[in-house]
Amino acid sequence: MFYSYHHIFILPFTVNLFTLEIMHEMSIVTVLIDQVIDIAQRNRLKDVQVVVLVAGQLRQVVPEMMQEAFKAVIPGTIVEGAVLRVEAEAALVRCRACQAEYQPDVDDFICRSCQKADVEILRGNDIILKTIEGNK
Amino acid sequence: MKVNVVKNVLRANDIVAQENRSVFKDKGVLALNLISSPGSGKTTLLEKTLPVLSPDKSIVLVGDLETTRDAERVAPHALNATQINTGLSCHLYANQIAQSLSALPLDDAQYLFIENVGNMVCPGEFDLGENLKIILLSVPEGDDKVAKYPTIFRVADLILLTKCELLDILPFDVQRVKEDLAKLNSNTTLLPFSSFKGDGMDVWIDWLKQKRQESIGAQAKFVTE
Repeated sequence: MFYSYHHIFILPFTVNLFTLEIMHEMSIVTVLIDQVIDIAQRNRLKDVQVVVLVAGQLRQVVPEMMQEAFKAVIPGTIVEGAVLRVEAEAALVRCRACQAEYQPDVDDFICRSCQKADVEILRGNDIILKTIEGNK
Repeated sequence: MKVNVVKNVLRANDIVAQENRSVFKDKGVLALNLISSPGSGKTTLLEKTLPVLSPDKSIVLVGDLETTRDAERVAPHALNATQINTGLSCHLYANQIAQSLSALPLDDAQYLFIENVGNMVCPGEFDLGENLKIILLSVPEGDDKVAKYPTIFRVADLILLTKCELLDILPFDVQRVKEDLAKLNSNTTLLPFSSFKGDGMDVWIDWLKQKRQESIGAQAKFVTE
């Protein structure tokens, strides 16, 4: 929806309400929950009891915050009452300079072999919806 | 019943982002995602940059929770300025950019500046289809921010150290920032910048023009192949 304000265009978008403390995790959960509901309906589940998420180390997800955000968005949906389990996935990178593979720290990507920080990320940069469990 | 899914949660956003990227490529537009904390000088940077770069060739998309203030500020200097009000969302999504594109005069543009919602965390998670990520770090924020928010700095194509006229007044160790950056990304550049005094402006403008040329060159090469 566009409307003119002098010569400025404004595009309003609305999202679910959330608290500032879990802002980052809420951004991800609002995307997640739609997918969980869609998959549950396609598999003809009456409800969802468990959702398992794999959070890459490089995605800055705090599991407890994610669970709080999850609780905030599920009321009134078929996911209401479900438990969210968050499994951490350690990062793995490959140095573009010397091809060494290693696990970096979030704040330190320096190659253990050649001391450069120029990497290809092999693992730990995704947020994966792994499984959902519910009753038919 | 257990359903095995194994699906990337952000895949839907990434697909739209990739479509946006194709549009930018087709139109020969260099799209830049400006990311920083609130108040680090994104809008001021655009107010000072656009008149020098090419005001009739630059489009600005501005994301804010509320108000049209930033779009109003840059509109006099741009081919088009469009405000996206995100409500309570702390970042832009790729589909918000996609929905905006049809109303933008991309055929007449060379640069699309996307001023993301002020936030150092979430904008890093949501690809918008931009060609480059520009991170602003302002001197008043302190020299510890690279270490505190490493994820966004790791993916930066350029980091502008804004409000550097305050380096003489505030305690800020530029070397500490460089050392923290070196641990994250050997290829990124830190450019000291002052929108008010003009420090770094020439380098910034040259960098933008060079990146657009590289983008167009890559496109021409692709077409001829």
